[in-house]
Amino acid sequence: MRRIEELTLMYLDGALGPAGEQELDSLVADDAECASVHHELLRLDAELHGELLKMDAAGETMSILYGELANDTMQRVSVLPARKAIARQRPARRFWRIVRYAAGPLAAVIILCVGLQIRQNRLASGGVVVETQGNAMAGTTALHTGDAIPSSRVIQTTESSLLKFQYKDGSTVELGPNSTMQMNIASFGRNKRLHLSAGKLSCNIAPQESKMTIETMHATATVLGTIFEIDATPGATTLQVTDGAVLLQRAGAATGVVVRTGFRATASEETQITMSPMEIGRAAGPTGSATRTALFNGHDLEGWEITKGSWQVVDGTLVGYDSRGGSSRLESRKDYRRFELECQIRLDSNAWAEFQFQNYAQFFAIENATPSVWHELKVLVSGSVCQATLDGKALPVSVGEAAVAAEAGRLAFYVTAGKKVWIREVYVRELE
Amino acid sequence: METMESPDSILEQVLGGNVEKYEEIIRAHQQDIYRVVAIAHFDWATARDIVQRTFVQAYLHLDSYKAGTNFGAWIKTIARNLVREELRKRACKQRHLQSYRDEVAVLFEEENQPDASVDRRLEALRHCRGKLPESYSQIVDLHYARSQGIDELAGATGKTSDAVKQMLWRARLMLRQCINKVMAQT
Repeated sequence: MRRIEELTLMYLDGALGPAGEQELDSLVADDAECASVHHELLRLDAELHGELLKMDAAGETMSILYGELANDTMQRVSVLPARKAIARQRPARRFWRIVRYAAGPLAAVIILCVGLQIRQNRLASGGVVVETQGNAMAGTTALHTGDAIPSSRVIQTTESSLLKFQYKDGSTVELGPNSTMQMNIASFGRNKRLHLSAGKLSCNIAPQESKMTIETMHATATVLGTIFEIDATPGATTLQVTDGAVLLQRAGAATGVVVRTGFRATASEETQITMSPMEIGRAAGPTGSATRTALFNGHDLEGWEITKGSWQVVDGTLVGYDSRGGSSRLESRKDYRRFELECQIRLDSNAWAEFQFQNYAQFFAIENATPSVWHELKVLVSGSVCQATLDGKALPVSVGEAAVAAEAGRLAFYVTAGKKVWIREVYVRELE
Repeated sequence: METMESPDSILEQVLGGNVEKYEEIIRAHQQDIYRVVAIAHFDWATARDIVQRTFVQAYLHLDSYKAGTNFGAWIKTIARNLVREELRKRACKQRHLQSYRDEVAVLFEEENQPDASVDRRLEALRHCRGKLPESYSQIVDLHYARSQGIDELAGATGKTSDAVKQMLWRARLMLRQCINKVMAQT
């Protein structure tokens, strides 16, 4: 092997010291043939990265894009929807031609329907109490299970109370302790409207025919889909979306930011809306919609299947280690699609361990773990969002070896040949 | 049977105001864009940032893309411009790396139209990877797809660190030789 090849390969492996680096610099600067070999090897290394290291930047890029559009108040892209408007002109003309001929009968039908429609709308945009704890009040009247939420009245909970109500379409909203809200029931249109003056709302909203809005003193959240939490304090309003998408606009603003699964956004009077990935472990959702369950019972391997190597339960801890020198994998018997997982994990020195999901379509490598020390692993997988942290530090997601990516699949812990991993306190929360 | 939407049909919907559809465009092209960006040998965070900026820039200038032309080629031009901009911004202390990046900057000059040559090299790389002995191929895959270092590779494969290092070196030299041979023939 030639010296230039050796030095370049050492450089690529991160094994080149200062003296070697100096020698490499000189060879490349002084000898055109050496420079050519060096460039070829660097290019090959770059091409192998480009070919094999999977780039998954879609979710994050969309969030940056939404932020960019919000900051730009949509001005730069305002030309884009123009084509849509042009496309709509022709059907609109046809519609008005038909209306002109059928105006009489149409008016009669409309008059007959209006009364019924108002009733339907009020049912659709109004809610009924399904659960209370402590005293939840509408003005001076206590609310009980089965009561309709009165329109435009101040609904309040105390420090030790909460109120859960349900819309006709099955959407549920939970008003947390020390919270104040108003519901505005629509006569025309089916829009659901809530005003949160203070405190917290946790919402699980079914797909909407008409938009649902929640106003706070700082912002308006327009619900485009399903599970989220909104928290209004005097200084700011924070929105966290567990599933779906919510449009958040600052009070009085014409445009806003679409907050998508796995992201949180904060709006205040002074600053622009800021967006960041949601803190894992906060995907609580309304009561009962996302219950945390133990995936490991501390006694045996119930609910698990050993698919490689050897696994045992020792002193309430799962221990993966193959004394014959092979690797070990333990898989959940159940498939999971959208979930949060929390556990404690400890590794042997130089052990390579992975948390795999979707039948090993993807995995998180447990990187930078201090050997023989317990670490907190937290994972959130929901739609396009895959996030994991080890003691609060983000872990990269990687593409696994499954032939076809499955939306739902088994969870698994894996450790490399001859190494040991300890796992305990495994909890999972399904997000649907 | 479900039919696949054409890229231009998706772009038409994006242009019509359906911003969410743009995520499909990103998913379809992100690996190609990363291939372009990776050539400059930036660190992972910088490369990822340039990939993201490429898609944001492309969206903001989508009205300048001519429907029916090659969207992949159009967006790669944006990526190459961002790479060149980044190369201009940062001077590299390592002279050998700077010399390589200077060559990349020349390669990425618009008038050089590098797409065809890049595509041929990619084909050659795939062909040559297929010809590697299985044990070498496994080491290369683990190293590049999972960013495993020599010691981790040794742990994963049950070989000594020295053995892994030698295999990885030989694999890269074999690939270089094979690619040069294939490129010389085409």
